[in-house]
Amino acid sequence: MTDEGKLTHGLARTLAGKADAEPISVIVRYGALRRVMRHREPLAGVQQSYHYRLRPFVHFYATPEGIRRLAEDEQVVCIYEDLPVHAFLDVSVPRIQVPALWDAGLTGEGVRIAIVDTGIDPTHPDFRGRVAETTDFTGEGPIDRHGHGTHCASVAAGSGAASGGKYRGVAPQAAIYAAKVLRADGEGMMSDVMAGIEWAVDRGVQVIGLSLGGSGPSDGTDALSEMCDAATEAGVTLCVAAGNDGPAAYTIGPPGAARQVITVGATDDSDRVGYFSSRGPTLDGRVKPDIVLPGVDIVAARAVGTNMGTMVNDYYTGATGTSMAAPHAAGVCALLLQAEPGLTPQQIKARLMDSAIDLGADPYAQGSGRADAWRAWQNQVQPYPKPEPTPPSPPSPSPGQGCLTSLLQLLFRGRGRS
Amino acid sequence: MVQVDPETRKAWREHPRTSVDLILHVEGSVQERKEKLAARGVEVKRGFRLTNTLSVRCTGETALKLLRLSWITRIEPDRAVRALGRRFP
Repeated sequence: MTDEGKLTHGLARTLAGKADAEPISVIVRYGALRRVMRHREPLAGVQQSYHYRLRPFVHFYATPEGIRRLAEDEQVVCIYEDLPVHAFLDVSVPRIQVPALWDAGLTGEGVRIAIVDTGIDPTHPDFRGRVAETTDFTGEGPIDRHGHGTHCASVAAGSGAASGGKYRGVAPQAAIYAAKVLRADGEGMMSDVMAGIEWAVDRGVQVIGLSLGGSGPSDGTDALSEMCDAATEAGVTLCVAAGNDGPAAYTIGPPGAARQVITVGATDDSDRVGYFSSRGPTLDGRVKPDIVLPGVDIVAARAVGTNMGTMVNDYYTGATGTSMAAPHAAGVCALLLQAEPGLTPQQIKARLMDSAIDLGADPYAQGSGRADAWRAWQNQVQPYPKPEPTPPSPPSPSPGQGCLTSLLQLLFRGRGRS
Repeated sequence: MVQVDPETRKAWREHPRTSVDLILHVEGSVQERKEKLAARGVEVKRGFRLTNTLSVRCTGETALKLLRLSWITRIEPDRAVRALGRRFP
């Protein structure tokens, strides 16, 4: 067999049509497990992601040139393209054992969740009768003209009414508050997000979902991160997307770098941390993200008149990102608060982290692991204490204060991208 | 002493008439500080009680003058944020 013959037809076709050197996700099959160890030696353009135990497979991110180098190894039997799988809400929600909590009567009823984002489509059947209040800090009006906020709100608290319950969110009876802080182009300013958070705190919400952020790295002393920490100190649990600037280290920006929030990275349907999911540590060396949750190809509510993501039908669309992972966490927090209203944000964060399932990935990619609603409710802690992670080489110059973040962003933009 | 990124300070000096959006961390009552800033020609957009901060717009020249005010503890640019959901190939 020629080296090229080790590539599946689909992968060969993808490489033939690929003009850039960006890494792609591949699965390599070896002749024997022991041979896999050969690639512990670094190959240029190849980054090992996961080593499967049951079969001699290894998952890599590799450039086209890296794939050719892999194919030259006589121990490699075949290289497959890693094809997307769809983690619809009807897959991602059961994966984190939410239906077991529904069966116990926990649906988020009586809990107030705020989505601080691009607004919401209040006419969507999945939110019928539960949008308690909306506001706008962009000047465009509170209606979601982008689709992102509606999607996130339905992951956290959609009822699935327009799909016969198929695409039901995590806390389908929670009350929803929506602050529009991002414009129709999906962008906005930190100060508008800060206003949205304060608005939500003033309304007595218990959980805030923030699926937005700026570029990293950050040390968590910027104004937005400080606002998030202040909201936590006021008794509100904040679930914040880690960012989509992975897999390089030091890619968590504000507000994901805030100390007290629950920073959420994204996994796929196979419980692998997404290639894109931002990695820690923070600029000042703290471990982030805190947990990971499903965030790849999540099908949830589509705002009327918008075309974000991959449209499924008039009412639903699929999207990927840590944006989709964070509202899974927000929904789980709502369920925990319904069960135990006295839980503090710090206790909820500890519950989710201590009970998370260790995926065996780098702590700077997975945090404590993939959160699980049932285990968090039952307060099941991981069986063994985890070792302290070894931090990657720090960026230079040495980490500074929050005000230096903009400068550091310029210095490190593009770092870690081949 | 007010903390501010040296690059930001340099940009204000080089473009004194350009409008800049800033977040000011202040000591004392946010409401009182709002009024004092407005009197100095600063457009105050919002005040935040949870963090004792204000979002403002002013020229680079005015921003440099704000550095002299003892009750302002830190100044940082109001930065862009974006939604973190998208399609990936």
